[in-house]
Amino acid sequence: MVGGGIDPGGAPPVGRGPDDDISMASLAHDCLALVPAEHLSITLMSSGRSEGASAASSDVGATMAEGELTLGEGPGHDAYASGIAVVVADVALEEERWPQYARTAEVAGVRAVYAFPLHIGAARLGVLTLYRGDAHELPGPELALALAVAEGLAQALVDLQSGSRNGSLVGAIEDGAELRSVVHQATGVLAAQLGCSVEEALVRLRSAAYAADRTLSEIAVEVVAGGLRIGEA
Amino acid sequence: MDGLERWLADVFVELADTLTADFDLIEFLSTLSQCGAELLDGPHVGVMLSDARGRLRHIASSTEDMHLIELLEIQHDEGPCVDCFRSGAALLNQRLDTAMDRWPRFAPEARTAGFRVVSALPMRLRDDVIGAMNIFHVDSDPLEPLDVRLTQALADIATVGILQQRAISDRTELATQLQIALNHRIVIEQAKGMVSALLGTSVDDAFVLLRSYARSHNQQLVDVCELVLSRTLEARELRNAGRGPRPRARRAP
Repeated sequence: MVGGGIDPGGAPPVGRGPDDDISMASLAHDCLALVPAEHLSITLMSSGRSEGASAASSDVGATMAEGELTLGEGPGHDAYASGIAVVVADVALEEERWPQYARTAEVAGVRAVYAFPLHIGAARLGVLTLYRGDAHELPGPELALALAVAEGLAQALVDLQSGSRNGSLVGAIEDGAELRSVVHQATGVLAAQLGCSVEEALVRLRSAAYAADRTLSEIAVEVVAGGLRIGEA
Repeated sequence: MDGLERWLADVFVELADTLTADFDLIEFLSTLSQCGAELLDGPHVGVMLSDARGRLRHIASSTEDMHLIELLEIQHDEGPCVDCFRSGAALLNQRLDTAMDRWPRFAPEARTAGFRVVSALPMRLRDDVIGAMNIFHVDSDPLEPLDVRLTQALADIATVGILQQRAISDRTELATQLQIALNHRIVIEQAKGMVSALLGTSVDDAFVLLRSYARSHNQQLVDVCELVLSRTLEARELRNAGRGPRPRARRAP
């Protein structure tokens, strides 16, 4: 995975089959097809620092995300810190809240910004931010859809880091709600056993499932029961 | 009706807690589920809410068995809670052994898990049904008419609690609230796993330790879980301080 700057993505992948690699850029494009926005950015964070890889669906998305990282203020920043979605119908009206960010948005031609935390429990992976050129209150059904996309994206990002080749966005959105509590318990067990962060435990649990060609639930049940120990890499 | 009086007192105290700013939806609904299970003397009680895409999501339950069986309902998209949510009508005292046609996948699995009679009551917000409360019996005793009224009251109180939280966190929609609540559930499950591994307990005992610590320190359960997961709070501290009484600050002198 590339670090540092934000990949504007380029042309959307055409006719991508299930065997093709899933990347941050392709996830960004898959998200854009589902949400009520013209541009978006995915910013990965590590312990609050924006050192992870990022992707955007367009130059506007990349400009806004980079601007936010540089300024250290904006809806994505707040969504990540609070764990709560930040819905801004018109960022031009938010000059007091984010003075510099509002100017960046004006230059980029962005009015509405919606930021969604990519959290899986205590694991804070990053933030998904959507942008529109018009001022727009996000109605309930659109908000719900965007929340579901963000939830699925968080799972898909962990799949991506685990080396899975089948972690599609749509699959992750469908599966996300069904994840059994034992999977989350196993994540905590693993973080304790390995002395690692919850973020890393998420990835390690999935990697172990893929390596053994077993489902996440099967592996999780054994980890919680104490029958399976996933070793240090 | 000593049990009923105690139950009512508990529920009033819990409801009063929703008026505070640091109200935790899952904690509240878990407590209501447990109060309901105690009052009805035996059954397992669980709460499912609809997300704004119309999918039912498990939120809280009185026991881990109930949690698993509710996930089964969601997975198979059939069962008492699903029917109750779709029709908006209460479904009372359905025997599982005569419900094999109605729920061909759910009924046999629920029977295998030890359940015999199931009921579900709708959670209504004006004209919308926002979720349902499940009551599953391991014996064949039905819900009596008084039980039904009390349990519907419980479901209504749960709805009031959700509305209350919505009113406190202004400008955030129910969908956002539910998302936060669901993520809190994940935090709690992760912390249960971590504490069980560090202290060598079961996940259920780990939950009791986390919850006791939160109550005796007057902190939200999810906050304590976050502290444990970030290693800010050492797991063994939970043992030292887990037995204090719960403060009841609003009680009159």
